[in-house]
Amino acid sequence: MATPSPSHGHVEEHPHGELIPYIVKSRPDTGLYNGKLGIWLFLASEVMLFGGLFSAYIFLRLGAEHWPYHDVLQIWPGLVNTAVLIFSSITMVLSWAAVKRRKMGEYYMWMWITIGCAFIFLGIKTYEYYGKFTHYGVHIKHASFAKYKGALEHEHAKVKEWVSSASFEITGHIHGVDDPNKSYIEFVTDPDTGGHGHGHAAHPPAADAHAPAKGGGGAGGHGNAIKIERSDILRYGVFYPKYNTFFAIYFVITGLHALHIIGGICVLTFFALPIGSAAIYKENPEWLANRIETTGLFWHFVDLVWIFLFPVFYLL
Amino acid sequence: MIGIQYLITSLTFLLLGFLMVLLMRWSIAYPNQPLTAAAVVSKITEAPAGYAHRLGENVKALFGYPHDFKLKETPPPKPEQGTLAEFLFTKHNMPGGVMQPSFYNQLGAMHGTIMVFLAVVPLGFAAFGNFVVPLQIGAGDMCFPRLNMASFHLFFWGGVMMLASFAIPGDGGIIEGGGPQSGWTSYPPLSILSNPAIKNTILLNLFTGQSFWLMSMVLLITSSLLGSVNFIATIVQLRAPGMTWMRMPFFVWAQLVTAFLLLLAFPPLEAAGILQLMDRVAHTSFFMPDGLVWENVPVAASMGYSGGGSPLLYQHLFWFLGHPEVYVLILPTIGAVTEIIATNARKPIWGLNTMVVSVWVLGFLSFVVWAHHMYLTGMGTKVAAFFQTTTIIISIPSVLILTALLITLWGASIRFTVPMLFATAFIPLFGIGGLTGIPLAFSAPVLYLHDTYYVIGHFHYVVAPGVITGAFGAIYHWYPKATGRKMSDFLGHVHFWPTILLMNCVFMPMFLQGMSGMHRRGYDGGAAYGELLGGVLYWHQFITVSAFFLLLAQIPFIFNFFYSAWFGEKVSTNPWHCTTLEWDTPSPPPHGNFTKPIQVYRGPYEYSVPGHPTDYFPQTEPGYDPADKFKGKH
Repeated sequence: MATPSPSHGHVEEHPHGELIPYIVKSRPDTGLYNGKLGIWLFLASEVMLFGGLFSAYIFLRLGAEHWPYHDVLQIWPGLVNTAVLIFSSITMVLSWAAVKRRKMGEYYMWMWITIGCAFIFLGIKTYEYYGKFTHYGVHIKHASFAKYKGALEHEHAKVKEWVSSASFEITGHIHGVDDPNKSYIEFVTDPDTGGHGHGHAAHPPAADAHAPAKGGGGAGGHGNAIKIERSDILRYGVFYPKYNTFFAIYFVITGLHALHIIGGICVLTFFALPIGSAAIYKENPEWLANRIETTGLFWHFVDLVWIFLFPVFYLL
Repeated sequence: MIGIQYLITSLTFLLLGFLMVLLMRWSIAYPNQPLTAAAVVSKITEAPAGYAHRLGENVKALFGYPHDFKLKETPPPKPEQGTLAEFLFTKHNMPGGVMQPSFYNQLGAMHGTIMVFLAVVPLGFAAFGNFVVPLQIGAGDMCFPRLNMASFHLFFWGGVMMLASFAIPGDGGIIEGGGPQSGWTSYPPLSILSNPAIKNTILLNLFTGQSFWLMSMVLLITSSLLGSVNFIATIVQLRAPGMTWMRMPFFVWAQLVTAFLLLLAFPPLEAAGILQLMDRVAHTSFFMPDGLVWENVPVAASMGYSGGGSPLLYQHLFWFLGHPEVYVLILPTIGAVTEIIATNARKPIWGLNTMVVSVWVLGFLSFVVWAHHMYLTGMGTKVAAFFQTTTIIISIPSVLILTALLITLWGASIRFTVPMLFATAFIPLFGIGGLTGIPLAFSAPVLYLHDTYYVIGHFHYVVAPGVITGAFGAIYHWYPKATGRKMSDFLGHVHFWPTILLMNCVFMPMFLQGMSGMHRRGYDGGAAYGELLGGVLYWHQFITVSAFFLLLAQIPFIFNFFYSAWFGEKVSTNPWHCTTLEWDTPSPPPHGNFTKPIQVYRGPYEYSVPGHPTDYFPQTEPGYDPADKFKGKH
C-alpha cells in the first residue's frame, strides 16, 4: 500500500508476465480487447453528451418564435465538409488495413491524408464562422418601424416580426465602419430574393455604396445603405452566439464538434509520426493495429456526429 | 494506491462539507447572532431546558395556525469585536461573527456540491470500487491504470477549483467575489445572473464563483467518465478464470450498474454546464427566457441577452443526471452492506439472482424518473402522470433489494461486529429515507411539500444516515485488507452509538418542520414566519446542537482511522472468515494484487454449506460448486 506501483505504463514488460491481460489479444468469451471495449464505452458517453445538446436544440427550436431555416447558412460548405469527413473515414480504414497487411509505407500515407482532410474540414469551418462574424442583424423597435418600411421594401429586405420582443428583424451588413460615435448605422440589407430573382438591374447600387462582402444570402442587385437611428434599434450585432438561440446552439454544437476534430488531429498526428507507431509496431504489429482501430472508431464517431449535424442545421 | 487516495480525499471533503453545514446551522438556529466560542457553549448548556418547554407546542402546531399572524422582526445583529469567525471567514462574510445571507448561500451551494460530487460519490464508487472490485474479481489491477490516475487528478483539481471559488476577491462594485450562491442545482436564470456577470467583460466572467463551479463540474464529470469506463472494462475483461457473471459478488454488480449510470447520465449535465457557461461568459440565451426582468431592469436591454431560451431546459438536463446520481450514491453502499451482511449473518444472501436483476432494473428505471423533481415547474399534468408512474415503479426493485437483505438476516446467528452494526443500522435508516420519499413521488403532496424541510429530511435520510452509515461499515469491514490491521472495536462502538442516535436527532425533526411548511432556503431558518410555523422553529436549535455533537462523535472514528493504521491489532489475511476473493491475498495486497494464479470454483456467498468443515467455503478453494446440485449436475 505504501509504495505506488511504478510499472503502470509498462505492464507488458512485467517480469511475472502480463499483469493486465487482453491488451493485444481479445478475451475469448467477450471477443474484445480492452481498448476496444474502452473506446465503445467512451463513445456511448459521447452519444449522451451530443444527445443532450441535440435535445437542447429541439427544446429551443420548439420554443422559438422564428427559427432561421437555411437562409443564414450556406449549404455548399456543409455539403463539402460532409464529403470530406466521409472520405477521411475511408482513408482511416485504409490506414488500419495497411497495418493489418503490414504495409507501413501505405499506413503513413493514409494517415497523413486523413489528417489533411481534417484540416480541410477546419478550414471550411473557419470560412463559415468568419462569414457569420461579419454579418449583422438588426432589431428595429416596433414603434419606429414605419420610418424605415418604405426604404426596406425598396431594397426587398427580408423582414421578420418578433412579437416576443416587439421588434422587426432585418439582416445584412454595416456599410463602412460601425462607428459608435455616430447616432445612426448605415445598413445594407440582405435582399429577399424570393419574388424577384437574382441580379436584375431595376435598382442599381448607389454611387457611394460599394458592394457588401459576400455573406449569407448574396447581394443580388441591391445594396443601398439605409440609415437607421440607434435610438430606433432595440438591439443589433453580428452573428455571434449571443445574437439568438439558433446561433447559440449552432456555435456550441459545431464548436464542440470542431474540438473533437482537433482532438482527433492530435491523436492521428501522434500515430502518423514514427514516435507514436514505430516502437509498438516493432514489438507487436497487432498492438498498433488495435490502436489504429480504436482511433478509427473515434474518428468514425466524429464523422457520424457531423452527419447528424449537417441536416439538422443546414437542411431542416 | 488510488483507492486509498480517493478514500482519504473524499473523507476530507466529507468533513469539510460537514463543517460548512455546521456554520450554516448556526445561522439557521441563531440568525444574526455572532458566532463565538462563548455563545456556542451557552447555547448548548441552555438547550435541554428549552426542549422540554417547547415539546408541547410542537404537537399543538400540527393542528392549526394562528389567525392573527404578523411577520416577526428578526433581532438586529449585535456584532462583537475581533471574533474568531470574522478572522477565519473574512469581515465581508461574517462581520463581527454575524453570518451574512450571501455567505450562507455560498455555504449552501458548496455543501450540496461537495457532499454529492466530491465526498459521497468518490467514497462509494471510486474509493471502494478501485480497491475492492479488482480484488473481488481476481484481477491484477484496473484495466486502464493510467486513465485511473488521470481520473484521480481531474477529481482532485476539480475539488481544489471548487473550493478556490470561495477565495475569489470582489471589488465591491462590478465583481462580486466568493463562491457560487445558487444552490447545488444551479438553476438558471438566477445562476446566470448571480455572482454578477452583468456588466463584466467576458474574461472577468470566467473568474466568478458560479463560473468556477461550472468549470469544476466539467472536470469532475470528465473524471467520473474516465473512472466509469475503467470500471466497466475491468469487470467485463479482467475477471479471473471461473469467475462467471453469476459468481460475481453483489458489490461488483452494484459497481457495474453504478458505472453505467455515471457513464450515461453525467454527459447531459456536462452539456448543461457548457451551455450555462456560455450563457454567463458569451451571453447566449440558452436558459434566458423572453421578458426577464432583473432588479427592475429588462435583462435583454441592459445586458444584450437575446432571450428565447428556456430555464426548464436546464432543469431537464440537470435532473437527467440528478436522479441517476441518487442511485450512484446509494448502490455502492448497498453493495458493501450486502457483503457485510453475508459475512456476519454466515448465510448465503437470500435471492441473490433477484437482487442482481433488481439492481439492473433500478439502474434502467433511474433514467426515466427525473422529472419528479420538477412537478412545480408547470410542465403539465400528463408529463407529471408519466413520471409519477415510473417513480412508483422504481420503488419495487429498491424494496426487493432491501427485503432480500432482511430475509438474509432472518434466523441467522448474527455476529454483531462493528461493520455489522453499521450495516444493520443502514437498513432501517435507509428505509426511512426511502419510505418518506413516497409522498414526494406524487405531484399532489409535492404542491405542499416542495422545497420544504421535509424534502431536506427525506434525502438526507437516504444519504447521511443511509449511505454514509453503510460507508462507515464498509471502511471498518475492508480496513484490515488495506492495512493488515483491525480498527479498534471499542472506539468503533464509541463511534457507532452516538452517531446513529445523533443522526436521527438531526434529521427526524426536519420532517416535522417540513410538514409545518418551513421553506428550505432561508438563511434565518424562516425566523420571520416563526409564529406561523408554531413551535417547530425551535427544532432548529435542537438540530444545530445535535449536529455539533454529531461532529464530536466523529472524533473517535478519525482517531481510530489513523491510530489503527500503525498501532491497531494485527490480523490474518481473512479476519472475518469471508468467502470472496479479496480475502485470499496478503493484507495489504502486493503489486499485482495476488500472489498465486486465481481459479474460482463457486459463487460468492457459500456460508454454512452443509458438509463443509468450516462455515465458509471460499470461492478459490478447489472442490465442488454447491449451486450445481440445483442444476442437477451434482
